Amino acid sequence: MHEVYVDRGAVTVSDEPSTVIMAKSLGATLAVVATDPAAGVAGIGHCILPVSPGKPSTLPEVLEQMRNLFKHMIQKGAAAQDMKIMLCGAATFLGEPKEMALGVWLYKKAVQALKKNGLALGGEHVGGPINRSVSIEVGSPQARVILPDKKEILI
Amino acid sequence: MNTAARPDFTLEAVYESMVALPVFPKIVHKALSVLDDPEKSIADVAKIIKLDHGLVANILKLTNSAMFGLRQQVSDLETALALLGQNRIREVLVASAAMPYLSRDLHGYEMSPQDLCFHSIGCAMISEVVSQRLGFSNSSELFTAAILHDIGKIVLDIYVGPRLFEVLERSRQDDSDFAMAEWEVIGTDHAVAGSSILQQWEFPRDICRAVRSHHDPDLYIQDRLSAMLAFCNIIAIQLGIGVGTDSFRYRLSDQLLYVLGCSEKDYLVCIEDAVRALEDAKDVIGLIFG
Repeated sequence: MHEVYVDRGAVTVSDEPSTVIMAKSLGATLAVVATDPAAGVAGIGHCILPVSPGKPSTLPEVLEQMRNLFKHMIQKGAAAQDMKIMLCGAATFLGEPKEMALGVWLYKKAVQALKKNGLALGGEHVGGPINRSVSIEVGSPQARVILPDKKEILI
Repeated sequence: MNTAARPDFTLEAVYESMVALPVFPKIVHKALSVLDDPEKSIADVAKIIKLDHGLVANILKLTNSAMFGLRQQVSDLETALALLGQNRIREVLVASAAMPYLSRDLHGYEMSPQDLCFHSIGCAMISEVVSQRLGFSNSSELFTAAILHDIGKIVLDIYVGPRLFEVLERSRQDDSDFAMAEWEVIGTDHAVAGSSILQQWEFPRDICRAVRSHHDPDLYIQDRLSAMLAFCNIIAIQLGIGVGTDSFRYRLSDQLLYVLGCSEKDYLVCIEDAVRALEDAKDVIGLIFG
């Protein structure tokens, strides 16, 4: 098993069998996980900014990051209609004021983008005061969510 | 009543434990005070730092790192100090002295030794970019407060560790603030414990107050250093930097951005700048750990 870690604000896609792609300690940020088991392609896009802060930015906003992820998936042989898309992360503080609700903001933008493009949300583990990590094995239809107490949940 | 399940975790026992904690290195305190004295020179600071080989090594490693892009390697302390400048010297001193305390496993908070260290260093790195973005002049005090803000977790974990699971359970069941649950179970919280430790270590009152306030939304909006520390801590947590099981279980003030004069756009720029600063932090953490 070969593990590949997704850097902050990066996209990682693989078509190598037995490769596990992992985004660790997401906090309020959002991992968009895509997999096409038939094509043997999987990837994660790590989203940090819900919108552009209005200056030349080195971090892509969530829509751009999703576009990057899907583009790389298709380049590796995934088919848009066969892709399962999952969302993970977007933790929130208790009683978080809406102007600081980074996780909520990212999640809403991602869901809007999926709807606008007629893509179904295949699963999610988001929100609440929980820090998560997520991984996807190339060829697997399910992502593995890892909670702080090391419990694992398949989505 | 089952008293056997309740060993001596009284508040007095916790505070006695703090007295037993090794003190923050005197050399660092002395070097910091000489650094602040306008009548003293870099040579005076060097004389004190020379007494601690670990500090000298860290300062030379940092000065010779890619961060400074020097053409030639610097091997003498005085030149290194002159190149680093006052603020960076302060930061290296505090970070180097704090690391032995911060590199610990915190079972009760479900944090690995790396988690607390990354969170503290990450928060300190974020404090630099946030200070710059929001025009906060006292960035050195903020850096120190950021590095040491969770020091109270060490004492609570060592001495009341088993009861922290009870705290977490209570916080989970009621969906209540973790600090509130710490008070209900232990009779104090890690921010108050941390502030007490820093007072014992003779840190300035403003830093102790900021550490005391960093999870209390009513308190941290009362002064700018506390508000800045709370803000940096929030960003570090949102970015998942050394996040413990308690990290998101705190209430935020809806006035924080207003108090800081921070617009939504500034907030996003701070997050973006923080991500870049954390890339730099990787180097600094590597340097400090050798």
